[in-house]
Amino acid sequence: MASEYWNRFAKERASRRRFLGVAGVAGAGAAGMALVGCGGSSSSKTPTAGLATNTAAPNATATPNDPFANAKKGGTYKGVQQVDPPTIDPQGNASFLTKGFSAFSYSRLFKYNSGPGVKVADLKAVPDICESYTASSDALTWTIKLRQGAKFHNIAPVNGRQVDTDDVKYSWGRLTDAKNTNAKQVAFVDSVTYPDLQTVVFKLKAPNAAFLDVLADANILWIMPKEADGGFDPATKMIGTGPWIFDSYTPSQSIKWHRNPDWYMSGFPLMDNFEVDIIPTYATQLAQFQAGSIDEFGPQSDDLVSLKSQVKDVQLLGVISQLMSFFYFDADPNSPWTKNNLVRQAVSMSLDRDGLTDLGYNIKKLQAAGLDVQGPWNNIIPAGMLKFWDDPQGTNAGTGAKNFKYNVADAKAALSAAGYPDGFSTKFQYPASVYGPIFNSIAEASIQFLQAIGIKVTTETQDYASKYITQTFAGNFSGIAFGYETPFPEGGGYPTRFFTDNPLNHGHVKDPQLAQLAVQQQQELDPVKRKALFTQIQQVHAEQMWYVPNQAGAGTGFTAFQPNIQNAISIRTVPGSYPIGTETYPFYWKS
Amino acid sequence: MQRYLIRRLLLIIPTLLGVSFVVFILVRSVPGDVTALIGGAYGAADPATKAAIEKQYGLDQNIPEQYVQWLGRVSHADFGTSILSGRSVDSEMQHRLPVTLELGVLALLFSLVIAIPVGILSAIRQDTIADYAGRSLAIGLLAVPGFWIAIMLITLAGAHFVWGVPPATYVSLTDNPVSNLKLMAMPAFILGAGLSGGVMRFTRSSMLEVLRQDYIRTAWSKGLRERVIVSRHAMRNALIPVMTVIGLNLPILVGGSVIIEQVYSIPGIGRYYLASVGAHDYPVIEGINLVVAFSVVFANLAVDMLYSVVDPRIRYA
Repeated sequence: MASEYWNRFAKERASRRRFLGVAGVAGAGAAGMALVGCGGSSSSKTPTAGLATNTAAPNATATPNDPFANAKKGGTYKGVQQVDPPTIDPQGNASFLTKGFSAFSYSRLFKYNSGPGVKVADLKAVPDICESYTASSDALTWTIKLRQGAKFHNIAPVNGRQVDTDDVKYSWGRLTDAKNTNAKQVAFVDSVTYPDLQTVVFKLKAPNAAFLDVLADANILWIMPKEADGGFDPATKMIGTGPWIFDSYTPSQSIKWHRNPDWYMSGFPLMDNFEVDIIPTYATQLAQFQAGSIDEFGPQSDDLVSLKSQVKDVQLLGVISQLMSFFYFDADPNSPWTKNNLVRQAVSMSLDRDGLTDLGYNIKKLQAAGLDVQGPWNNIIPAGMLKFWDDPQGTNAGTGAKNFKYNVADAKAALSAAGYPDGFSTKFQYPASVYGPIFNSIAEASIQFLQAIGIKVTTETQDYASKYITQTFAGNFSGIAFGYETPFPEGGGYPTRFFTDNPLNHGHVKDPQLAQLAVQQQQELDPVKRKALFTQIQQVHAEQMWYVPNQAGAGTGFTAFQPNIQNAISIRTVPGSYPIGTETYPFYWKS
Repeated sequence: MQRYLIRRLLLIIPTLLGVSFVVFILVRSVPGDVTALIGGAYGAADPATKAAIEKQYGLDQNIPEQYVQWLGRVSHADFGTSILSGRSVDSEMQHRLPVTLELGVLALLFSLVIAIPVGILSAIRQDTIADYAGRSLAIGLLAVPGFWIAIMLITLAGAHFVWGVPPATYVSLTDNPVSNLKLMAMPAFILGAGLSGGVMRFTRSSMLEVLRQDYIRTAWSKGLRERVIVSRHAMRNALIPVMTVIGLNLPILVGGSVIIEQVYSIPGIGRYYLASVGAHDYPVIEGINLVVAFSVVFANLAVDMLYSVVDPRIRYA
């Protein structure tokens, strides 16, 4: 049983009265039990498929197919990043760069149960530095006990002490500060109280099916020590409870950590050190991977075939990420798209999605070379999010399916019907310096598609840090914008962000029906009914096209690993997401 | 001479003031909301938060006031804190400036090693195959962009001769000279090669002019060997104007290092500057500009002083 993989290494306490709508643990098969064991808490009334594995004897015999059998401890793993993070303060910036690095040193209350054999579709929120939790029967009150033995890194001024609720309080305060862009993501929380040093009580305004996922979301709540408030500068030093202890950050050079021997998952991380080199250019990253100087790298599709011949036994992991790219529109009432949804439909129909996917991901060439690549179409839920995504070409697509099909004639007819027989002029903006060549090539091709139906665009490429993420992404722009959505680990993040009142409703969309559906899905605890709501959201949105899904992020993206990296292919977390520092890297080792 | 030197040193002050003021105005004129960068869009949209950010960074004052305050800090060698990273600009520059200086010095050495021998050879073998080859090489090095050569070399190295791929991480010269030079050699060579084209051509024309002088004809008629004539009599005079060209190339060296630093992941000033410009990181931009301007002015002064050492005929009043 896969749960036995962890028996020797992990010990986690069970919770009781699991909220089944979220956990769905009863349905987890053997493979899904990787970080989930069988066990009960001290006051369990109902059997829980909670999180309990016992620490096995050090000399326990490895089970067959144990991914950690023969695991060699030690060594340095070298990753790569293209740009520096704007800051290493986990609450200092909304950038994915900041959040990704946070996952090495910091912990959340919950994380995802990545593990051997766990399929991406089966990932769910499980305790991180939460030890146990209970939910009231109405799912409005959540009581979380902090993990005994979860200690901060032994770095002054925190000095390795046990995490307590003062730290959670400080971290929650940082998250909900008015300056924090993600504050509104937890607006559904009514109050947080701290009855004692190990207990946190969340009271929600309404039931939230994704509450634990919100706490597991790497964008949201990283637990920082209270000493970060004046005792040290979190912009230059990271002190958390995570698997890796921060050594140094040299801007434009590298970030370095070493393993935390006191991490609550004893025995992990397997490697001694982790280093991320900042290498701005793709060609240099490729060369460094070919030379064996870095252990992983994201090759472009054009280079995959040659890379296979250049690096013997290179491991290639192909994943459809949960990255959704989309056009979004300004909210000016006089803009063509605000006045009439036919304009937005026309924009969507102008896109040859198969062509864009092939452009970005070289589908045909790679399939011819024998690689398993796919190119599904993004919906308002990304194609990689299998639990919630409906295929726009599938049976659940509804009457709006036509708006996904490439049809220049119909697009022009729609524009004409909307009062723009000759099209119109507008600005088209996107960040060109951070998302890589796939995004850029799809952006440039999309411009041509828009021009082809008569939308005359003036292109503006924006700097990510200073303009795009702080202004355009927040809805302060005019014209049409193109970008990626923050990948949420749980589908509810998308409609909640897109259609409800929050500062990152990028297009300032006010659609009462979709807003209501977004709230409904959030509060629907039955997973079957919730999925039906997602289908309805996607069908309604296909008619409205407030956000026009594009194909960057929808193809199979590859990560290449050196041949000697073990578990890189088998242990995955939420694709394209940030918590890999906690959820995957601790379990890699080098043969 | 001393008076000339003092005068030149004093002239540095208004030069730097002018440069710093122009840069100060320019960066604040570029579109982009700095408060949004600091506080995030949501924070910047809130008037109280926006006001707090502006006050914290002195952005609530008018530009001349901000400039005066900045000058006051700079006079105490305090370049402020990076808006983007929260790190001290001084400490960043202390780490990065030596890296770019090392790159620049190595590039200069490479350029001289390439340009001067080839330029001299080209001149003394005027209108021969050696001359044509030298001139073609100079034109080629001037025409082909350094960043293209850099990317081509690193791509070819990765694909075909991985031993030629430089180390992924920078190590300082003092920590590990071998690793440091392994990383710096190729980018320095590329930068230096780009500079050498112009120096080569100037060396050639300067040498040709000297070789036509009467005293050189006298040396030939005395029966001196070519090597003696070139090295002892002609070269020193021919290289005097070349020094000026080298001095003029210093700003190009600093500017050209930006892209090379990007390609080779060298944590120098150029790369830092590029990132700060994109992010409207005012303190960093202003600090780097001031330091680079000072370096260029000072380097040109040093070249001028060296001029008078090399050529005793030159005396500054």
